[in-house]
Amino acid sequence: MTSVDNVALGHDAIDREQTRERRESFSAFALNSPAIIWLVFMAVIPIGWSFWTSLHSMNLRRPHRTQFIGLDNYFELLHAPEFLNAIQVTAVFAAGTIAFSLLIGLLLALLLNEEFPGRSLVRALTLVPWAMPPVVVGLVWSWIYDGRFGLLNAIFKSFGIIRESRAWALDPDFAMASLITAQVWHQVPFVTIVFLAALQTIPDEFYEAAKVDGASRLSRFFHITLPWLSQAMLIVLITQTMEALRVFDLVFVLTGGGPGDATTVLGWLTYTRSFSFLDFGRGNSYAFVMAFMTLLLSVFYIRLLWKRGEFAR
Amino acid sequence: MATIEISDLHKRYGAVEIFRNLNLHVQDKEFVVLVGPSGCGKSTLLRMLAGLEDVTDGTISFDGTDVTDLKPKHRDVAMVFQNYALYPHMSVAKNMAFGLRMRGVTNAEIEQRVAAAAGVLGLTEYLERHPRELSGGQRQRVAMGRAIVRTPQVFLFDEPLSNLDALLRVDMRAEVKSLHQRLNATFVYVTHDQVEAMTMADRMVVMNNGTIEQVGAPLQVYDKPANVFVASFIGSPAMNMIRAKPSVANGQKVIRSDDGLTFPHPKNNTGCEGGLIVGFRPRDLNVVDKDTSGAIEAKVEIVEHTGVETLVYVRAGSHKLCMSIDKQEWSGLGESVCVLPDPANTHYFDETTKQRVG
Ligand SMILES: Nc1ncnc2c1ncn2[C@@H]1O[C@H](COP(=O)(O)OP(=O)(O)OP(=O)(O)O)[C@@H](O)[C@H]1O
Ligand SMILES: [Mg+2]
Repeated sequence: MTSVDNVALGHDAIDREQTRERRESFSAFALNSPAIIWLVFMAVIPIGWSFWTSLHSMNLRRPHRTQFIGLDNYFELLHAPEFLNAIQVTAVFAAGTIAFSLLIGLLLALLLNEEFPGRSLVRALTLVPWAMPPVVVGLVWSWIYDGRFGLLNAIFKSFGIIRESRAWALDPDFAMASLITAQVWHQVPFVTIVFLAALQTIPDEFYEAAKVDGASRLSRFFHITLPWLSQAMLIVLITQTMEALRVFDLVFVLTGGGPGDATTVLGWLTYTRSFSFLDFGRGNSYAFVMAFMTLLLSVFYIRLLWKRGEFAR
Repeated sequence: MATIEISDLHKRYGAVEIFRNLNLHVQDKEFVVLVGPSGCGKSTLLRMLAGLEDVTDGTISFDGTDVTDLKPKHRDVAMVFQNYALYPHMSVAKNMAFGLRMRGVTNAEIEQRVAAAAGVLGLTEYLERHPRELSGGQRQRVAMGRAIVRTPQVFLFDEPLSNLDALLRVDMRAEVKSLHQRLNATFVYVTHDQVEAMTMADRMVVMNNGTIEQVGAPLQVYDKPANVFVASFIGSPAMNMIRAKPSVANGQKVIRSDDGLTFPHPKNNTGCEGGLIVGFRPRDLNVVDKDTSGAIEAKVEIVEHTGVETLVYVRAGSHKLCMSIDKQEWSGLGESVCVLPDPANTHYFDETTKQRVG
């Protein structure tokens, strides 16, 4: 309500108006309360509780020795070899999956942006992996990687690439690669769709102007297509980073963090710390470090790409 | 030097035929405007000249060299697009430099040429901005700057002014025209705006439905429209047209419409046996005394003031005619007046062929 309205309405009217507004905001709150209560119980309280737990030394094997230790869990994890290893493993996993899903997704989007017979069918098929829950993806790939009956062994053998079968996901040299492959397979559809959507908004006139300007196919790609995709790139980088940092289901099904700790990513470490070793204080601090790292990286990406992306509109 | 020769051009999109047997010759350094209603194929023709659209059949030559199958970059043409097509992530300077960069021109020369073009177009202070930080008119200028830095032989414009407001359009019209004089190049300019066509063209090409209806200097087209389409398309308000047949009145050969309006018989008698269409522009319809011979009685229905002129719509028989007179207060709504088209500027077209007969 503007002040001009106030003058025109007079005091009685203002009072009435304010009561009405108060009543309205109350009913808005009342109507939304189921959602709000749900959120409070399902998100706000658990997150708060988790943080509170991370400030304690709390191991369910010694429940009576639980005590408040402030940020000690956080200070200690900086020296914990298992944590530093997990950071490293997670970084390798993230770099691998982001790089490959970005590259493959981009190539696929460029392909699907061209006209060819059967394009819509291929587009639909591309989406299939994305529709699967990660656990199912893990199971599918665990069969592909299987040491005795796996598809991969069969294929490689038939081409004479290997002689002995191996359990790829459990092999120290290939466990990480197996994990990355499965994750990339799962994420590529999303990346493709994001890029494809952006590609389809590029006006033909840009390409035509560039053709008249004498730009080759390659320079058209680098000078027009790629800059235009910077916003889509930002979305892909952020989502893929989050997906990579919080990966758990795939590890659970495929490698169980092994062999040794070769694929013990942060998510897996958090899980084993909390639920195998029942060290809930430390486990929760890992969870918060993970969330914080994701946040930091997102801010970094946005800083890096936002301005350039904005120019593309 | 750049003449353009379009011969026997055909264009089909699948089963849809856009052009059949199109022929056009554009002289060196000529400013040719393609004008016609929406969908008549102006853009398609222009894009074929640029090399952006395949030619189904026929040839296009620049200076006697067949370029029909050449890629755009080998044609020495520049094109200004309707929506400007400025690269959004590049600064004005980079946009203008892009064509030169792609052609491997040295940095020093690029810089000098961009600066020169920016000077001509008044863009010097905007060189570091991005397109989204410019007004529509400034973007328009950048688009032209991008074309002129390359100093090509042929410039192609596809409705470059249609996104500007009316006032700016008038300014830019003059600017494009002076650019043409300065650059000494061949211009092919597409528009659906007949005023633009009239004011800018050395020669205008009136197109309709994939065919060329008339080619000629603006005044020639205006004064002697080759057929009914050109007569009705060029000129605003549109020409009055009345269907009529040869007849005899008071022993004189005249042309008479169904509802009894009579007009003098065209001077050269050829081909007047069947039905005719008589046409005269609003400007050529005058108020006359009642006893003037040939005067048509009419009733005033609507009066409009455009500022420069006053448009009087009158009803004569079953026809509604538009008359344009010098600006004046006109109070005679519903009054009867006598009007007479100027016989020297009355056009006659064959009703069946729609072609001019006198
Ligand atoms: N890719 C295409 N496939 C089929 N028909 C097309 C295609 N492109 C254009 N046309 C048809 O060709 C005709 C000419 O189109 P064009 O764009 O040249 O018209 P125009 O004269 O430039 O019209 P406007 O003034 O609206 O821009 C139109 O009838 C259009 O429907
Ligand atoms: Mg067009």
